[in-house]
Amino acid sequence: MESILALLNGFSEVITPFNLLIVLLGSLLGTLVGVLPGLGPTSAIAILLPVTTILSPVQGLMMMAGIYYGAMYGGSTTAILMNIPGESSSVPTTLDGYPLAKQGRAGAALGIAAIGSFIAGIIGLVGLVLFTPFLADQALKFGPPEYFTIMLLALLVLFNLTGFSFKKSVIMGLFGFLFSMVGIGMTSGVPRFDFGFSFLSGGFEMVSIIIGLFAITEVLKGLEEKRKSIQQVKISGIYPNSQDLKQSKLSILRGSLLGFFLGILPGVSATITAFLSYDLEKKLSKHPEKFGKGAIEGVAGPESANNATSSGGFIPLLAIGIPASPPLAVLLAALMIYGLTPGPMLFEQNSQVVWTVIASMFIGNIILLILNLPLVGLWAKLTNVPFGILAPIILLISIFGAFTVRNSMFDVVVAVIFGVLGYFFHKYQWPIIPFILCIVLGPKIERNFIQSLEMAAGNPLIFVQRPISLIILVTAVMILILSIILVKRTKKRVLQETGDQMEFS
Amino acid sequence: MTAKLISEKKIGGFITVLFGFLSLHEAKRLYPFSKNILTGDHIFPVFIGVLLLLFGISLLFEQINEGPKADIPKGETRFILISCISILFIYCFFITILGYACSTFIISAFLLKVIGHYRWNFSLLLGGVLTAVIYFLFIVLLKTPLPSGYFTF
Repeated sequence: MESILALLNGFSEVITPFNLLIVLLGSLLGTLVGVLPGLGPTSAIAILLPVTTILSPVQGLMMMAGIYYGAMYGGSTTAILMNIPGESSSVPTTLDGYPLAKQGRAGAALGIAAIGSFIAGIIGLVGLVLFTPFLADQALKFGPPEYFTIMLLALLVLFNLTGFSFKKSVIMGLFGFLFSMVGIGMTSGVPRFDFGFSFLSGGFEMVSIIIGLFAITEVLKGLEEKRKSIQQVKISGIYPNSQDLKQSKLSILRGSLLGFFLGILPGVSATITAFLSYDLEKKLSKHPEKFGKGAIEGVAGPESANNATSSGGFIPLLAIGIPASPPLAVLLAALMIYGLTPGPMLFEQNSQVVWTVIASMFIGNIILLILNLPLVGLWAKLTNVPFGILAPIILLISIFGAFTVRNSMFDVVVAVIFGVLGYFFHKYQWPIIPFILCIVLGPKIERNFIQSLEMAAGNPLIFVQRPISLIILVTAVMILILSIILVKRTKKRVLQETGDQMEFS
Repeated sequence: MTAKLISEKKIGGFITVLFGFLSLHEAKRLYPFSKNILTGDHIFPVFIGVLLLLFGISLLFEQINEGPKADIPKGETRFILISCISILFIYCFFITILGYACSTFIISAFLLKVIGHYRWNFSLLLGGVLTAVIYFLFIVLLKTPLPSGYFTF
């Protein structure tokens, strides 16, 4: 009840002309970047994060949230119209979305994707409202040892998620830790890993690394692939008919529930739930032979699961400060830039901000549903902008985005270097997700580790002696086993459908 | 044989081992500043260093099997990639000397020419438009103090 009242209060904050404009702008900007082939939610948030810094923290976060789900929506547009999945979680959407588009039913597919995403988003947000305060309340009982255990184990599970070699994932995670340690040491105040260079004593700015790895790398990949504007299929009739809606309603509901409940667990990504939902729909369908040839349920289920999982990911992010995916890691970074620390104390100290942002998500989802269907034609036209024009724009905005965070040219150089590194990481299948997650979580893990040992006078057994910590350990082992099974299955499915290995999103 | 000796895994393993040693070296330097052996700024560099060494060595000795086959771009694609990266690095240097307006105009025109193969007239025109739009967004709206260089504009 308390949550509902707080949410209603949040709504009253959002419904002002300027705040509504912010949500609208965020959703539209996110969709704009999301429809550009190859650019997903992570790049969208990273590139646009500096632009939001002129706003107040609440407005900035409302815009970031809008950018996030706008970009998610934009990703499904390219998957359906051009057979280009921006991220691996959109692969199942292409399986039936593109055949539908080729049959002249692109509008129906896009419409169902939008409606499915909207319903899943709302279900996810209702879950967020109900579960997050409860989890945050429980997390208040956590001390540094519990936080350390939960973060370390969440990372272990996430390393397994990348879809590439586990060994490479761990090494990339370790590199992330290493880079997060550059700068002033947290206990002694002595610079670490600066090797006498003053520009290293301030440490690396994670936003510039993210811009490099996601935006600049993406341009370099596009240059290599000689990305051209693709003539996508013609869109006729943007609204699905009643038959489409009837066929999809149960798929949307199943996808949303499956995506949300599995999505809360660390180690179950949107790619996993999207594929699970696709296979579930195929299994339950009376006409499984239609799948892969243009079955509307094949779009409805995975799109809903994908969005519900993304909304579910906000629960561990807001309640305990653990991002389950790269876009949420960037959002975590954004929260920290705005001076907010996600975790149980966020609900205690900044409850107004959190509930206003959650309320803005409800409104943003409605805005996306109302505006994006009529704008589908415009979004589709955007994909026709030549890469020769798009690439220099993305590169220049990335450079200024990296500069804006600390007004430092060092950050720009770092972004370019990581852009080049990211290109090689992609080429040789070294996953960047563990690297990003460890860069963001590294300082928190180190702080909790040192605090735990200080509490226990240096006795490392503290991590298994406290009951909550032990329960977390046992639960994490079970989740890890489940995750290994699901990831193996999804890897096989991605390989079957694309003939290639992809980093999971 | 040579391909097996210098595979991406071997190179990755070697770099990982190097960084492992670097981390351990830093831990050794930081140890005197710590309160005790397990709580201090040196402890994570020790963990990370040891793990990097272990994983790096295991990657070095991993049997080469059918790993990812990456084709390094050749010909024009390689030229475009290298040119783009070089232009970005040159820009980082240029902007501090020439300032935002001049350097962005020149660099954006070059990027458009190299990536899009447009004619110089079009590249310069679009470069000018891009420079103006970014100026409005980052300097006028966001009030970012971009370097002005010798020309103070």
